[in-house]
Amino acid sequence: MSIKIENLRYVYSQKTPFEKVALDDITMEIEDGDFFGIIGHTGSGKSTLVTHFNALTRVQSGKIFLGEIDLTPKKIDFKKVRSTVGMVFQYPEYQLFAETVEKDVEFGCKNLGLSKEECSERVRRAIELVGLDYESVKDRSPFELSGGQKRRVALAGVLSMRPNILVLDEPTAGLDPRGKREIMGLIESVRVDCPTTVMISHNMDEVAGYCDKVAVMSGGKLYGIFTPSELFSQKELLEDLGLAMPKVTALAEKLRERGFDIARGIVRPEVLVSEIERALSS
Amino acid sequence: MSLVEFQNVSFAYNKGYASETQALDGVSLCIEEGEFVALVGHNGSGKSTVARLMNGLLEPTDGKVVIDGMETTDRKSLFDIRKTVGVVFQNPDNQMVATIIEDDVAFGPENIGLKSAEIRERVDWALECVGMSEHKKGTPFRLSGGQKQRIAIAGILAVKPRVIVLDESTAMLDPVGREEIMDVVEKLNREEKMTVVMITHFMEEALRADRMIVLSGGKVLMEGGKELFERADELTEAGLDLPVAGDVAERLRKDGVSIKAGITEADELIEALCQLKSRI
Repeated sequence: MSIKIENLRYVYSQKTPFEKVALDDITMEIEDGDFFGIIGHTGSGKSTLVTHFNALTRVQSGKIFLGEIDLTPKKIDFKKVRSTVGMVFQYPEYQLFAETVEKDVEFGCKNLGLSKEECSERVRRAIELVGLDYESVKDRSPFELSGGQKRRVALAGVLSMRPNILVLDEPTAGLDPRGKREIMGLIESVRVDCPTTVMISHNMDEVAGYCDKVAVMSGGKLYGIFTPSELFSQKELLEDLGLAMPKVTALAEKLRERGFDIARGIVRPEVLVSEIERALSS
Repeated sequence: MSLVEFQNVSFAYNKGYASETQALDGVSLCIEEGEFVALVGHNGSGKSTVARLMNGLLEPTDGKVVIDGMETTDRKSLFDIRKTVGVVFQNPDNQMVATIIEDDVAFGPENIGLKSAEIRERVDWALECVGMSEHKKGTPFRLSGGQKQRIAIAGILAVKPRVIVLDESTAMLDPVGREEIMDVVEKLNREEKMTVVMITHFMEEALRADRMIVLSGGKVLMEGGKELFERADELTEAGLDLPVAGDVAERLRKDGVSIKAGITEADELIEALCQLKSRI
């Protein structure tokens, strides 16, 4: 399902001394099936933007459409919207609350008013989808699990609502390298069921490695939408925006400067390795 | 005597219950005054347990934790221990106590009974250190995650502890914000002689420390300086990534390209490759 955003503007604490423009005239479209990255400084408006997608933040001015659903009017079908857009916040494991993993995962789909059978079928599928063994974890307390497992449970809770669009805010923050790879692999595999994925990330290596398109936000404005290799081959632009290059790209760039004949916009280490080997043997 | 000493420390969560989990198993380590130490390891390796043991939030189930000669199990010393060791945790939302930023930062110095002029001075200095002075009259709840974390760090700085422990405190920041915090931490270490213990998954951050302690499965796996990166396989085994230059170097080595082991910096790799190229 696509998300269409037209001239969206949002001001926090309107008409108070704390007034702050968080989003300033954003127009963009996230197409069905995109793995869409959103990057930008802390405070650039990324979170404010994505919380509009499931109507947690309501439209003040401008328009948003989720497919055919108009999110602009005051009265909307919240249940429908919240089951269409699955939102996984930063550190979602802090939001676990139930006594057992099963009850926690079930909470969302129960709220959708689904039958018991439908719910338990969805819960089982969601827990399996995030790579946990349903029988062995369902009766355990989510609080006994490791950090990475907790995050999987939180993700399962969102997936059990069978969203059409998955929105992830910094999905790998705080995980160790292995945990990061596992969660990213998981997100990729979930795309079979929910192909449209929006991911906020500070990790340029992840953005480069997984996203098809990247929106760059700066001071509440949309700077532009790029493909990763377009974006990360523009060194000056990144510096101007205060964004880092993926570490691999930066290394490749330095080698180019030293006369190595290496392709532009490399974002994966294995590609850089074969480029170096090619450059050395030629 | 070292400023921080762990003597054969073990710790189990939920000791005596079915859910008992051994988090640390016979850990001995020393941290000297003025050192900048990175504590690294996979999730669940026991890093955060070390942080919590250091200021007496947890007591060891076995062994001793001694801070500047004071044992953390000695209730009478606890106040002084917490004045000596300040911990900044992962999630800034759990660390905010006041509704105005400067009040939040003043909470620590107020609690240790400083005079108000001194508190004022320290709050201004701490906010300056983390680059948040202009926000001092604002409320922390309106800030972004990264900005909140800076306030949490300022709150600890204002107590001027001799040891500051950062428990993945940069995890929520963007790369630029993370760099800023790293600069602040380095400055505190160099100029204020503050002892820094940095718990992190980012090997690039760990590289900036004087010394690295690698934990795995509740034990100290290895300890030392940059030479640890020569043991690339063991680090990967312990669930850690090499810095990117090290990763690329290691892959090249495995393919038979003749460069030395233990490369960590981009410049090192580039030099090695340039030499290689000129020889061809």
